[in-house]
Amino acid sequence: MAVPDVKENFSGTINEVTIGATSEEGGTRTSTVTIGGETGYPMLGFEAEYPHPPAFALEISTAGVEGWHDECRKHLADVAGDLGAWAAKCEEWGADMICLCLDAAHPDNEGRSPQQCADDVKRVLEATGLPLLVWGTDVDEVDNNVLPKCTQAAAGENCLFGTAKEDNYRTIAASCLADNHKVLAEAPSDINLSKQLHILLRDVGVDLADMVMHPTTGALGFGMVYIYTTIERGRIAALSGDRLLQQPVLVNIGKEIGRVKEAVSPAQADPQWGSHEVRAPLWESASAISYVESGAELLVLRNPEALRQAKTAIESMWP
Amino acid sequence: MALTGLEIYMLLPRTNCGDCGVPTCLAFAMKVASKQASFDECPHVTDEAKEKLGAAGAPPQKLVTIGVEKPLKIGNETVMFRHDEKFYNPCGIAVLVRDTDDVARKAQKVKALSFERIGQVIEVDTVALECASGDGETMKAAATELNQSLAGMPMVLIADSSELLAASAGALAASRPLLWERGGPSDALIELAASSGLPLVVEGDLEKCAADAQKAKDAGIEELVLCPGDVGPKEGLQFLTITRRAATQKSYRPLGYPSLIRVTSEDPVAQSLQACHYVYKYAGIVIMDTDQPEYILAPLVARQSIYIDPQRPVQVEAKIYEVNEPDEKSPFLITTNFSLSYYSVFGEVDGSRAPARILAVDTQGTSVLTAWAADAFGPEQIKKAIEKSGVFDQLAEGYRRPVIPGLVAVISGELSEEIGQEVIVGPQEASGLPRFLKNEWPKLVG
Amino acid sequence: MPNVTFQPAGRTVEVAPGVTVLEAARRADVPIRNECGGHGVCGRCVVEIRRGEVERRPARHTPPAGKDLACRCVITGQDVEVFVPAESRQVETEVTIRQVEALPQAFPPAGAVVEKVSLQLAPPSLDDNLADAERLVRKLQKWREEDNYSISLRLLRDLPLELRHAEWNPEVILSVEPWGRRVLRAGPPRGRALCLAAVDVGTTTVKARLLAPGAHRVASCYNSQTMFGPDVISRIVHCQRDEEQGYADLQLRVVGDINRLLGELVRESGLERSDVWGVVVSGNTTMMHLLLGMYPIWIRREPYVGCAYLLPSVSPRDVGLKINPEGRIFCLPSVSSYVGADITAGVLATGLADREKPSALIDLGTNGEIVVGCRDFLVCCSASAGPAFEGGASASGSRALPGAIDSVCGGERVSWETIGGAAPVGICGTGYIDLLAVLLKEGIMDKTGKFAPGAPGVRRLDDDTLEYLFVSAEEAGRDDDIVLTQADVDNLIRAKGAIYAAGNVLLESLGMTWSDLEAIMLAGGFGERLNKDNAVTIGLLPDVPRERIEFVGNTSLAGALMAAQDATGYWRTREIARSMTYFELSTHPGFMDQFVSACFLPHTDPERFPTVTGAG
Repeated sequence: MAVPDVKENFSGTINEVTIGATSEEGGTRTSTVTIGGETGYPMLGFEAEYPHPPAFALEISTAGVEGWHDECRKHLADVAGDLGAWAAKCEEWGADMICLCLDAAHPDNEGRSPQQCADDVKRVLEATGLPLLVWGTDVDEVDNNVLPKCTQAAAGENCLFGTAKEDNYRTIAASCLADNHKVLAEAPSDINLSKQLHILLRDVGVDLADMVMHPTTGALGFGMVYIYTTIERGRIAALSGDRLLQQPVLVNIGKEIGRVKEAVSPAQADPQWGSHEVRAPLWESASAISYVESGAELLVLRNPEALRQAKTAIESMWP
Repeated sequence: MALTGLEIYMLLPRTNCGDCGVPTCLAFAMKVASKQASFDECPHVTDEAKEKLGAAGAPPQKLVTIGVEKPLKIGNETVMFRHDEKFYNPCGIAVLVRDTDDVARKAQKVKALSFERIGQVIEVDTVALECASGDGETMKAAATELNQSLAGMPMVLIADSSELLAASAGALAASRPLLWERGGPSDALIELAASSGLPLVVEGDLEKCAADAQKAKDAGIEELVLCPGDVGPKEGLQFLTITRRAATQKSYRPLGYPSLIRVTSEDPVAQSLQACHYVYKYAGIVIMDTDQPEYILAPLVARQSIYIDPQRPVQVEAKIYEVNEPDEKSPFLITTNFSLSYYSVFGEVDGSRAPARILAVDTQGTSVLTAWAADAFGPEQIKKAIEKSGVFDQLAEGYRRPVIPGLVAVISGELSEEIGQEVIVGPQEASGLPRFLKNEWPKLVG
Repeated sequence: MPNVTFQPAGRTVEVAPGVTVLEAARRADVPIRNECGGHGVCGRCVVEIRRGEVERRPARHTPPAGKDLACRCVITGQDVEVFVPAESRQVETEVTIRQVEALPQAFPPAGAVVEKVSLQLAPPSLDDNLADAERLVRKLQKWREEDNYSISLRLLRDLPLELRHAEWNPEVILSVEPWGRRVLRAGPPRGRALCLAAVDVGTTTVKARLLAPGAHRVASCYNSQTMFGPDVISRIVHCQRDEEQGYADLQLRVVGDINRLLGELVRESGLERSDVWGVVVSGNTTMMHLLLGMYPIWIRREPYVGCAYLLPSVSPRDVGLKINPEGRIFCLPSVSSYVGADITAGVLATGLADREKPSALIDLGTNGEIVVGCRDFLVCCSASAGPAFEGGASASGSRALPGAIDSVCGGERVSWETIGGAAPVGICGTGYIDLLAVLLKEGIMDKTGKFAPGAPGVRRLDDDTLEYLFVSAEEAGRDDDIVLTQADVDNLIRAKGAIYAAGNVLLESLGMTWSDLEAIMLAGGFGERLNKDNAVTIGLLPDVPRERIEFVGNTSLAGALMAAQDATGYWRTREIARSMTYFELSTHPGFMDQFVSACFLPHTDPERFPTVTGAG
């Protein structure tokens, strides 16, 4: 009895989404990033096409590195005060994209003005040729004031802007449409909620092909597996032809690592866990790998060492 | 093909006799269809009906048991995706030991790879002993010592030939090790395994594995483990995926066994990440060549995560959680121990940077409203949880005022009487907490 | 003890200090609107303290200046006068009478649960010296093929005189029992009609209808238990709260409601209460428990088991129902804790259990229930829908009574019609279905039901939430605007989502889909004019060819009526209850997922609603 053919053939494909625009495309980026395009479950080269490996963004924040854990900060000490230098450094470390978080605009921080935030965006665009992901504050009113200024400041650069949520999607959708950016659609760990948000965004004019989905993120051991399953379920639906779930998936890992005891607890406190220097970046890269296993295509990290580890591992695994 | 509830119902006597413990035949049929009950729990079912259902009954993947004292049970998996049912038997995570190593020291290292996490012990539960000495007696001595100092931890014995394995297999037969002859199994090893009743690894590509598995089965060996040999993570994933699909989707018996895979990279970081890769994607045993906890912790947590039953509400420990270093004047919030409820509250509090205490009340992992409706999140239960936690000792006079979810505002009066303190009704949804903590709380305690 | 006087009702009640104004109002029978059970949460029980001092407890909701929440005001030692403004009087207790088609003229029809027969007995003689009772039974045995008759001691004591008064030609009234018949009366002809009644005890509404010559009216009123909470859980909670008083409160309330309804009906028909000899009651399991005074708390607790589902006939004396004291009350059987007699009645009324091909009955009440089946099988489940479609717990909700907006049309200006064409007093279920569909089509809200800021009619409130102004106070037949709040929309969407998801899970467990059903019958007392397209547009009902959708109205009352008229129907409900398989959704792993996906307009999967979304 011969080994049966178990190859899966799907009717659906994950959308290819390109972020960034070079001078030929009307922007100033020196490189662009394209994610998605897979025709099967993650990394099964014997049955499907995988035109683009997962892309990695490194996060930089307008509020600096305060609150980031020490093992991560030690890499950033020289650049954290200067967004431009920080972004350039990320490029040097091998990031495919920059994720600029507008944390300073948060009312709990300095409440930086929309214009100042737009200037921050411009500064980063000048300092690096990488494509840009711009992340708001998660405070609806602030985002609605700040993001339109920023999409305008980055007009022509084909950035990814986030996040649009069920309760607050109209303003960001309109400004991304006006300035030709991609929209990051965030819905908490449920494919139904993601689909609903994609429908809402489509209803206000955003093309399904211009969205990237963020099912929210938990670190390995801290809710990761729920999101893992959400992504996996979405992937099955997408490949079976559900156009409302064919958007590539982003997870924002770096931020979550700071909450993980296994990653941040120093060796003196928890000697049984071994070297802290190893654990901290490894938890971040292991979380990233976990998400790639379920289907994520765009991963946001903080720690450059984790970036190196994850990229190396993906290279060995990606078909 | 799985039968639907109605199809099964048509095969039942349809008398609603209740002898199966369920009130109606249709209810029973639906339980059978959803695999919550077995067909033979009905004492009145006919042989003909049994036959019709029987074929669908046998498990697609064999259960393999290694070790005796704390046996490792692998296999019996039924699905490719955990949400379709669940992953049943957590894979073994093994540390590789060579018989040329300082075995006693290695054993100590392996023993230390045991941690407690969210109320569960997660640990290296298997050890793989490789014959690097090229001498069967050396391997036997090492195997015996390992077996003793690790108290019978399930063991994989690895050697290049059946002759080298024979001594160790004989010495440890009572501890039921898994025998792995590299490139094997040879006829001699099949004979050895068959006579000693030990489980066996079949190694090679898919065709070879299928052929050897058939051969071993014909020789009377029931418990087998498939292995692709020393391959990289791409080939490894392919092998693990195809064998699992062949078993669960095509009921292809020759590959209806769990798999073993050895991480090949020498870089410990890559080892750790590749081990995670295999844990998620269908390995039955993952062998790692490191004994350092910092590299082993991630695969252990990955395993703990992926084998969680996705159908069961996930619970957090019912206790007080401190967020952002609360003091004696920080707010005290109450929710249930349903993990989503708790993490929503935690996430909002943490995100708002406000210090607070969160009490997760044991509601068997049900959400606030469900628990309330089922009388599991009422004034009495909350009172007991507060008393048990001793949280009032940590709070100053005037701050012992629990904030309850707005959805159960109706219990505020009685809870207040029960605990003799004012009760504050918080927002309906966790998303209202940042605003509540920032605007309303200061006024309330103001 | 201090006196509390309520205006404008003008009722005064004496209460002990420490009692809240809300509680005092209950005792004075002045119903004040409230949904949280009196915990300062819902903010509905706004009153004005016009005289005297009260102690004020803190509340989550701050009442408007100069007003107070009745549940937060505690009577101290002083007399108090309280004014209850119109908006707080929403829980009206008036009985509404509605004309329906008349019943057949023979009363009671032969074979009803209570029958009357005139017998001619041979007078006893020395030769035929059977005792009076046996003489009666001997005759009865010939009247119907039935051997077993029972006569109560009370009746035996009077029997010799009654038979002789009747000169051995007695009029006999009998009721059905599983074991035979019960003789309720034997004596000289009363010269009065014998009538029966059917009653539906809903969580939100109680309805009754008389089976009597010329009776063609349905009387209804709010279930006055509503003042203890809008759903069955909060009623059960009230029982637990005060073990003695709690369920006595609730039993008295519902019996009082039925007595009022029957009182109105007999008065209208020129009859007397004592002419009513049999009442068939239907209602959900909790309502049946509360009506009979059975302790309901285990309904709420896992594994959700009630006291009894197949109930014996009972004496009105034991329940407090004011009909002929020798009459009987027949309670229809329940299936489980959350699928009650209202559903077995519905299956009877719609003939679901006699159909050849599977169909569905969806009962959209405070608790939604779904039955799928045919003559081969019956499966049911329940989903907590909440009272939204019955007009409960909504800002401008109303039962389906004159003045309720029951139909809404879109276009340049959103227009509406009311029941009976009266000035609008609120929105009933069918009105809400239309309104959601219209607002969605007009882009006034999005597919999650969130209002679009700045859309026509949408205004922002002080608490930063949005609401839709539907009918302004000037146009309305009430003092304030008729509105749709964001919370109303959320509740309606949750309710429709729960119903649709429950049906889907049930069908999936059977390996079926909606399109396998020959008919989908929607039952409920939330309006007369269901717009099927709109019900599909919002995803309450599945997108199937519209001719398969049928609006069947209040099948609980209809089933009770059928059972009353024909005892075989009554027995049939017991068979139905026994053969129905209850499917527990609370532990079903797929339900939550289906629910989330159904909480969208019409649904998260557009392919499920091709005629609405245009998806293929």
